[in-house]
Parts: sequence; C-alpha cells; structure tokens
Amino acid sequence: MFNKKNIEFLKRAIKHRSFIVGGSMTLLLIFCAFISLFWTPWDPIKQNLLIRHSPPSWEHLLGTDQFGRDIFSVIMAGSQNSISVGLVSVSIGIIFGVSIGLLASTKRGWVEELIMRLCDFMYAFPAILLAIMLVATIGQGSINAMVAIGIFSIPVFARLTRGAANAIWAREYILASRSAGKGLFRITIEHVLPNILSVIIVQATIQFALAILAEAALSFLGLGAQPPTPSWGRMLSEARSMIYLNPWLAVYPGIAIAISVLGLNLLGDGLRDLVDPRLARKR
Amino acid sequence: MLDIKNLNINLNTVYGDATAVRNLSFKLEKGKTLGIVGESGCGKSLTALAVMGLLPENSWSTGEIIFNNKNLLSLNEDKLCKIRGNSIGMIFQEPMTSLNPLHTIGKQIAEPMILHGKVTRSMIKKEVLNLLDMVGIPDPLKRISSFPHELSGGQRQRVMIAMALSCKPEILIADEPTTALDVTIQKQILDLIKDLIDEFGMSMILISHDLGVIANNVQEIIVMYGGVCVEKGYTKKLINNISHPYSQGLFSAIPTLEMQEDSEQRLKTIPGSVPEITEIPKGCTFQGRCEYVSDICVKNSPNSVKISEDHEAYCFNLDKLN
Ligand SMILES: Nc1ncnc2c1ncn2[C@@H]1O[C@H](COP(=O)(O)OP(=O)(O)OP(=O)(O)O)[C@@H](O)[C@H]1O
Ligand SMILES: [Mg+2]
Repeated sequence: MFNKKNIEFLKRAIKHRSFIVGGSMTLLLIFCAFISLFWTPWDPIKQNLLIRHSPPSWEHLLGTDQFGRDIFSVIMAGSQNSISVGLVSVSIGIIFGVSIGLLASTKRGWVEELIMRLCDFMYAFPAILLAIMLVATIGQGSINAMVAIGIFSIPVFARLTRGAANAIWAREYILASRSAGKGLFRITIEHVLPNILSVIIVQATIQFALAILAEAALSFLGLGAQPPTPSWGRMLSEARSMIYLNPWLAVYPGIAIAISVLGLNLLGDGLRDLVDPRLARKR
Repeated sequence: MLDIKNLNINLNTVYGDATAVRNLSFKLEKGKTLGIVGESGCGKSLTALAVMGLLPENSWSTGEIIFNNKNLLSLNEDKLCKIRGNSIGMIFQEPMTSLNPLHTIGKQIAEPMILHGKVTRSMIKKEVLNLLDMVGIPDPLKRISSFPHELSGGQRQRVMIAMALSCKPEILIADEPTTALDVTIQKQILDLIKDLIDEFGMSMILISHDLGVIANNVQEIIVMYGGVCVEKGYTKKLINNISHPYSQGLFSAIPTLEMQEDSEQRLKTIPGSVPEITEIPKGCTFQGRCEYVSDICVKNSPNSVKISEDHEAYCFNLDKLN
C-alpha cells in the first residue's frame, strides 16, 4: 500500500491547494452528517412556536426559523439528506454508467454505436428538467429524487468510461495480453477497469456536487425530501415566503449548499490534477 | 503445420478501403524458422496479427490460415483464446509499453500458464522463477515482484519472451523483437530467442526490417513490399543470389564493419518510400522506386519466377538484372 508511488502521490497531494481546501470542505460536510446522526444542539424537527424568528444567540447559533426550530441543527441534519442523495445517485450512475460504457468499448461495432446514441439522446435534454419530469411521474419523495438524479448521471459515466476505456484498449499491453490468450471480459475487468478507475473517481466527486444541487432544486420545488425530513432545498423553499421578514432563513442553507458544492468541485479538480499531472491546467 | 494460403488483409481507412496484404502464401513446418523482412508499413505486423486472430477492428481478411488442420480465420473468439499464448505465442516490438504498468512482472508471466491451466497454484511461483532464470534475468527472486517501470528495455523484452514461451507454444511469432533496443542488447536477445527455440523445438516467425538480422537467424526468408511477397527462399540460396531489385536494395543497406572507414563505399539507401496502403499501384508494387521499371511492370503483377529449387522472385526483369 505504502509503496514509492503512493508516497509520491501523498507528497504532491499535501502541496496541492485546491485538493486540500476542497478536501477539508468535503470532510466538514461528511463530519457534520456523521455527528448529526447522534447529536445536534437541538432537535431539528421539534417546533417551538414561542421562539420563532429569534436572532443568533449563544443558545441558538444561527437563530431559529418560523417554527422556532434551531437553524444550526436543521442545517446539520440536512447534510445527511444531501450526502445520501449524492451517494445513492452517484452509485446508480457508476454502476450502470460504467458497466454500459465498458460494454460499449469492449464490444465496439453496433453495440457501441447504439449505446452512445442513446447517451447522446439523454444528453440532449437538461438533466434537471428530466429529473423533475421523472419525479413528477413516479411520485415525489427522497428516494425517487435520488433515483431520478442517478438515472440522469448514467450517460455521463457511460461516455466518460467508454472514452477512457477505448484509450486503454489501444494500448500495446492489451494486445500483448490478448496474445497470451486472455478473453475480452477478463481484460476488461483486470486491465481496463483498474486503469480508468481514477478518472471515474474524479468524475464521481463532481457528479456528487451536481447531485446535491439537483436535489436542492427538486426539494425546493417540493418534489424531493418531504417534511419533516430536514433538507437544505426545502429550507430554501420554506424561507421563500419569509424573504422580507427574515432573509437569513434563505442565506444559511444557501451557504451550506454552496460550501458543499464548491468543496466537492475543488476536490474533484485537485484529484484530477493529482491522478494525471498532464491534465493539470496551467496556472 | 502452419499453412497460409492466399491471405488478403483489407483495411477500412479514412481514405477508403485498401488492401494492406495481398495474396500472401507461405508454409511453416514444425521446428523450422521463417523470417519476414521489409520496410516499415509493408504489412508485416498485420500478417502476424492475422495469424493470432488479432487484426484491428477496421479490417477483414480472406484466404486461409491453416494451423494443425484448423482454419484460424474461421474460428470464433473463444477458440482463438485457447490457441493464443498456448499454441502460438507472440512477442511485440515495444517492450516499454507491452507490459501492464499496474501489475508485477511475476503476475504477468504467470498469467498465460494460469489461463491455459499449465500449472497448479502451488507450482506457479517456482515456474515463474524458472522462466525468469531461463531468459537471463538476474536475481529472479527479487525481480518477480518488480513493476515494469523498474526494469530496463532489454529486461522487459526478456520478460515478454518469458511470457510468450511460458506455455511452450508450437509457434513463436516475434514481431521486431529487438527494434526498440540498442545494438549490443539486440544480439543478446536474438541469441536468447534462438537458443530457446532450439531447446523447445518450436517453430518461429521472425519479423524485422533488417535483412541482416533475418539472414542470421532464420532458415527461410520472405521479402515483402507493399503488402505482397516479392521474393522468398531458403536463406542460403536467397542470400547467395539475391534477385529482386527491392531485396538487393535491402541487402546493400546492411551496414558491415569493413565499411566504416571507407569513404568510397557509402551505405546505399533505396530512394523513395513505401507507398501508403491506399496508394499501392496496380501491377508490380515496387514500380515507383525500381530503376528497371518498364511498361509491363505498370500493367501486370509479376508472377513467381523460379530462380532455383526453393527460391523464387516476383519480377519481370530478372534477366536484365543478372
Ligand atoms: N488499424 C489500421 N488502420 C489503418 N491502417 C493501418 C492499420 N494498421 C496498419 N495500417 C497500415 O497498414 C500498413 C501495414 O501496417 P503494418 O503494421 O503491418 O506494417 P509493418 O510492416 O509491420 O511496419 P513496421 O515495420 O513499421 O512495424 C501500414 O501502411 C499501416 O499504416
Ligand atoms: Mg510492425
């Protein structure tokens, strides 16, 4: 595990600014979600109408909302929802997208053509719009939102995988391995997949951020997480009617979303530079 | 044992369809060695890949490649997998890129033997160590867990040889095994291959653009130009009486030691270059660069002319030449 190559990688990683910043922000998000599983300063669901719209104080760090809930606790608990959406939808995208991408690049010919045209077709529509349509048809709710967002990240992973895999298939060691009698399936699993894993991981962090955004949008429209599950998107939508009375209600979840998305994107960028220095942007 | 009859390899390129190898026929008997020589781009690698059933996506082939009474061109992928590495092994030109950078060389050498069920699990390591030792890699016990980037080019080519020979195939195809290596290593590698071929009684197809390398290492030679065979014969007969203008050009391009100090006697080169596969002319493929070219060379493809027993050339002007 700690061979020379990995240590080299770690050395470069700790010097890479966007990797460190993005990584810390992402860790913060994960940490919040994890802690909130066991503990939040206040119950994020319990309403207390006596203390509605109270300003920030030591007791309520970010104040309370229109139902008297502690905003800090709701934000913390809301991170769980964002993370699970990211995890589930990215997993769906990877499992199906990577498989069909690999299938396309292994089979080539009309199979590849068909799969890629299908992906183009899905690409032609804005993903978020399709997700909204899909959720509107199959019914609203967290799970459905995750599935819808996941489905529309399938073509992203499929295209990426197929492109990267085709480049690996053209390598000489694949030909050498075929000449040793290895079948196409085993080559795909043992040679192609490990070599494209890094690109997939980079894309996964970026898709994770997009999924958090998409989920916020769906919840904002009332199609995602349903009350009382804490969700940043729904916090935003609930804050909409209070925008003149208490604009901070919209600011806090907005910041939470921004930090997570920014952090994941920076992390993705950093990872991309680190796994393949040739792709690094000139600064 | 291997009998290639009228092999044609067609390619679908961006400039349209083209025939990269035309009407190639040759036989390889058990325990014999055969060399294919020709400049870059004349279809040597494609011929080798056709035998392996590993032609590129955008190609198709006609004719027959009979190996132990089976036509390899009509076998499906599963059957071919059982032959590749097992009955026919191959070594490639680029030792630097022919090994997977993510796997240890021990793992890669063991792979063909495991695939074809040649060893039991417990014997794998011992076999790999044997092979490493056999191909002359020092300190096999340490090298078995090295990654390809930790080895020199010559050592990697030795690893490739170990891989290709691990299942004791009946035929070894070596496609320019030494082109990427420096001259001193070249000879060592060729000697190693020859020794192992003899030891195991294998047949070999050696491919090179260097007629000198071919002449020193095989029993029978095929000279290819523009996708066709222009001359073939037993090495001794062919070298003593090189007949085709192209083969003569190749021969005078071999550097020799005596030449070095002698300013009069420069290394000759053949003027011009190999045509792109889409631009191979009708008639004799060599017409564009041949100093003896005449009308008939442009109109017709030359037939085989027997020079002596087991030696033939494809040229209209053989009488003018000698
Ligand atoms: N996949 C392909 N698509 C299009 N053209 C190809 C393809 N593979 C080979 N060719 C062309 O076919 C011709 C013969 O190629 P081949 O690789 O057999 O040459 P070669 O004799 O092995 O040359 P070298 O000494 O450079 O290895 C070349 O002109 C090459 O450009
Ligand atoms: Mg070649």
